[in-house]
Amino acid sequence: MDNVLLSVDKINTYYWTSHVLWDLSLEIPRGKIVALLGRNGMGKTTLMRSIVGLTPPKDGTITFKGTTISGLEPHKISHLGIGYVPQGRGIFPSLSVKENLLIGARGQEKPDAWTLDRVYEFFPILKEREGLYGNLLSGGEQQMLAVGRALMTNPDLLIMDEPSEGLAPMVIKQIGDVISALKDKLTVFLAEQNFNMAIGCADYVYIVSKGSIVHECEPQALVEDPEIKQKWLGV
Amino acid sequence: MGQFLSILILGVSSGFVYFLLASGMTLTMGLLRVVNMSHGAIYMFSGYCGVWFYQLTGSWALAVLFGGVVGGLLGLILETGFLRRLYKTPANQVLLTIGIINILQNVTEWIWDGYGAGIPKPLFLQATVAIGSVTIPVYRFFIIGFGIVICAAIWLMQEKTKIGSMVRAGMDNGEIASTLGINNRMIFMFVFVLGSFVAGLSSMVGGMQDDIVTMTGWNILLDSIIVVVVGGTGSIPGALLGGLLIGLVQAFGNAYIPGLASYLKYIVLIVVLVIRPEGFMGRKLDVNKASDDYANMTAAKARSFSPLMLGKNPSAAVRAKLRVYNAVPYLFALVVMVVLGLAVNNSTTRILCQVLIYALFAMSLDVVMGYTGNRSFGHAAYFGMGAYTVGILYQHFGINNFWLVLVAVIVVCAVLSALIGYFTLRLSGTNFLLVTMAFGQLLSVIASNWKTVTKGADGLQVSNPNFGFEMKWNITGKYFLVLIIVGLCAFLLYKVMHSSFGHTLEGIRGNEGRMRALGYNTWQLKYTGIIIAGIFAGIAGLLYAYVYGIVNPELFNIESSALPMLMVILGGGATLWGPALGAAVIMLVKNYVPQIPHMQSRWPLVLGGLYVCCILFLKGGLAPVLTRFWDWVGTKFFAKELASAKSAETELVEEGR
Repeated sequence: MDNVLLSVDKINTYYWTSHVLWDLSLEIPRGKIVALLGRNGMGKTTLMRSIVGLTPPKDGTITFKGTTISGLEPHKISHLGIGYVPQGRGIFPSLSVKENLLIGARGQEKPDAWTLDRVYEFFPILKEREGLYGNLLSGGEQQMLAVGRALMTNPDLLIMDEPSEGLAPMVIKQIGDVISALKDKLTVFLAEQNFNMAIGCADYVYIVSKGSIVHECEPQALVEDPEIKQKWLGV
Repeated sequence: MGQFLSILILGVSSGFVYFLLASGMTLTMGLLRVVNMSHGAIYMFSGYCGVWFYQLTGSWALAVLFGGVVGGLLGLILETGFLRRLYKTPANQVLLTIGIINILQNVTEWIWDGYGAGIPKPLFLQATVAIGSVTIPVYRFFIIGFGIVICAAIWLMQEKTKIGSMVRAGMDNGEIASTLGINNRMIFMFVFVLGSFVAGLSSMVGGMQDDIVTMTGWNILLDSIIVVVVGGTGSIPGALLGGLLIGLVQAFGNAYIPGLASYLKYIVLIVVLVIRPEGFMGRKLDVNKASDDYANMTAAKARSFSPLMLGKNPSAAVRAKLRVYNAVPYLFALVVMVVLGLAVNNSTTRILCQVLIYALFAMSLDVVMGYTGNRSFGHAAYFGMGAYTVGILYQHFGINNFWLVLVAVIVVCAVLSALIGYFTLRLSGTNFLLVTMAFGQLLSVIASNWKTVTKGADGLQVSNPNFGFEMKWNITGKYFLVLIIVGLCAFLLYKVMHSSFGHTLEGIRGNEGRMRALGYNTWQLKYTGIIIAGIFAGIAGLLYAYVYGIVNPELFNIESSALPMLMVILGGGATLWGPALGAAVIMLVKNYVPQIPHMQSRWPLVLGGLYVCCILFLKGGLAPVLTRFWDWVGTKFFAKELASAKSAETELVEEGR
C-alpha cells in the first residue's frame, strides 16, 4: 500500500523483563487521524514510546515512509519526520514558551511549513504567554504548547499520547477541535482514554488490550456496537 | 577598615576560583547526573601542562589558553572513551573517575617529580595596589575580572543561545528532548568538554592564588563539590553564589575566628543541605530515576544454578550436600587465611592484617551501599572514630582492657552513625554521597585541630590490647586476633543481611516507594542499616589501632573514605564477600606493586588502571564472575539431582494438562 505512512509489524516490547507488547501490528494511512483506544495499562503509552524510539521493541519492525525505524535512536526518528506529544505533556520548565517552541524547530523553508508565526496563529494564547516559563502555564495551555512544539519540527506524523489527560471537559473539547483542524495538514496517531473525544475526531480506530490489537474499525461502527465497547473499553 | 577590605577582596577572589572550578562540575552534574570526581585532577594536570608551555614559549596568555586546551582534550577523551557508556551507572562513574584521579596524579608526580607546578605571575600582575592602609596584590583583581568574564560567558551561553536551551531542556527531561530531534550525546559531550576546558583555562589563573600541587586534584574536588551542592546543581548563578559564600566564609573565618575556620565550609554545606537539600538555586532533580545499578545487580542474579532448582522438598541427603556446597567457599577462605597466617613472614602478616581489617571495613559499607543502594562517601568517619576511641581511651584514661574498649567503640560508633544518619538520610543519590563526605571531612578537621585531645597530626599511640591476663603480643598473635574478630563480624553480618531485614533493604534499593506502600517503615530500616554499618566500621577501626599502634587524622581523609567504596564497587556490592575480595585486591596492589623494581611509587597508577579496566570489562565487579563460576560448579555437583528435579517438574506439568 502506497498510502501507508507507518506500519508496525509484530513488535514485542519489554520493560526490563516484563513483556508489554505482544506481536503487535497496525498500520497508519497517510493523511488520516487514527485513534488507539484501550484501558489503562494495556500498552498504549508503550506503543507510542516504541514508535518514537524511547523503548525500542526487542523484535519486530516499525517502518516509516519505507524506512525501518525500529532500533534507531529517538533523535534520528524525530529527524525522519515523527513528532511526539508525550503523555503528561513534558513541557521543559526551565525554558520559556518561545524557547520550548524553538528548541526542535526545523524544516521551516517549505512554503506551508510550521513556523513560529503560524504556530502562534494557530494557538494565539501561546503568543500571549511567549515569555513565561513552561511550568507557569495551565494544563490546556501546556497541551497546546506540547502540540505546537511537536509541530515546529514539521513532522509528517504526529504522535499524541493521551492529550486529554487531566484536562477539564471544556479544554478537552478545545484540544479535540485542534486535532480535527490538523486533519488536512498531517497524519495523526492518537492514544486516548476519552472515548468521545477520540471518536469525534478519528477516521479509524484500533483497540489495544494486553499488549495486542484486538479490534479495528471505523469510529461509527464502534459507536453502534455496545458489545465491543463493553468488552474492550468498559464504556 | 583597611584590613576588612583586604579580607573582602581575598574572599571574593577565592570565591571566583571556587566558581571557576564548580561551573563545569555543576553543568555536568545537572545535565549528565555525573559526579565527575576527576574534575579537580583535570584542573591540576592542566596547570602543570600550562606551566610547561609557559617555560617553552614564554607567553603567559598562550599558556593559559594551552591549559584550557589540555583540559578540554582530557574531557573529550574521558567522555567519549569512558563516561559515555556509564551514564546510567553512578557507582561505576565514581570508580572510573577516581581511577582517573589516581592516574593523572601519579603521572604528574612521575613527570614533575612531585614538585609543585610553580604557577608564574606575569609582570603586570606582580604589582600591588595601595588602598588606604593596606596593599592588595593586583592579581586578585585579575582573578575577579577573569571570573566575571567566564561567568558572564557561560551564563549567556546557557540562557541566550539555542545550544544553551538544549542543555536546559536536557536537564529538565532528556527523553523528551531527544524525541524533538536533539542528539543528547552531542549535548553531553559539548557540556563535558566545555566544563573541562573551563577547568583547564582556570588552572593558570587560580593557581596564582594557591599554587597547584599534585594533591590539588583531591583537595580542590572537595571544595568544588561543596560549592556545587550549596549553590544548587545545574545552576551557574548558584555556583557563583556558592563560590562567593564559601570564599568569603573562609577568608573571614581565617581572619577573625582562626580556630574554627577550617570547620566553616563543612558546616555551611551541612546546614544548607539540611535546610534546602536542592541548594540555593537548584532545581529539584528527580534523583530516583531508576538507575542501572540495580538492573546490573539483578541481572547478575539470574543464576544458572540455585537451590530452588532442586525442587520443592529436597531430601535430607540433598540438603546436606547443599550445605557442603554453600560452606565450601567460606571454609576455603578461612583455611587459606589460617595457613597463610602461620606460614608467612612478619611483613606479609602485616599486609594480611590490613587485608582483613579493610575487608571488614568494606563489608560494613556494603550494608549501606550495596544492599541499600545509598553511596556513602564518608564511611571513614566510623572507621576513624573507632580507632580514635581506642587511642583516646588509652592516652587519656589508660584504659586498655579489650572488652571494655570494644564496648566503648560500639557505643561511640552507634551514637555517631545515629547522628550522621539522622541528618543524611533525608537525602539520596548524589547529595547523600556529598553530605556523608562532608561529615567525614568535618571529623578529619577535628582530628587535626583539636590538639589537646587528638595531638593533631602526630596522632595517638596505642598499646597492645589487654585481655585480663598476661600475654606476649607479636604480629602473628595480632593477626589471629584480627582473623577471629573479622570472622565473627563477617558471620554476624552474613546472618543479618540474609535475614528478612537484609531482604527488605534490598527491596528499598529496588524501589523504595513500593516498599513504603507495602507497609515498611523504610526510613527506620535504612537508619538501622546505617547504624549497623557504622558499628562494624568502628570495630574495623579498633583492629586497625591495635595492629598498627597509632591513630592519626589520615584515617578520616577523603581517600580513606574512597577506599572502601572502591572495594565495594570493585568486588561487587550486596554480596558481603565481594567487597571483602575487593579489599584484598586493592590492599595487595597497594602493598606489592611498590616492591616491583622501578614501581616504588607507581601503585596509584596501577590501581587507577585497575579501576578503569574493571569498569570496561567487569561491569558488576568481581562478584558476578565468581558467582557464575560457582554456579557452574553447582550444575556439575548437582547434575543428578537437577535432572531428577526437572523430570519431576515436567511430569507435574503433564499431569496438569
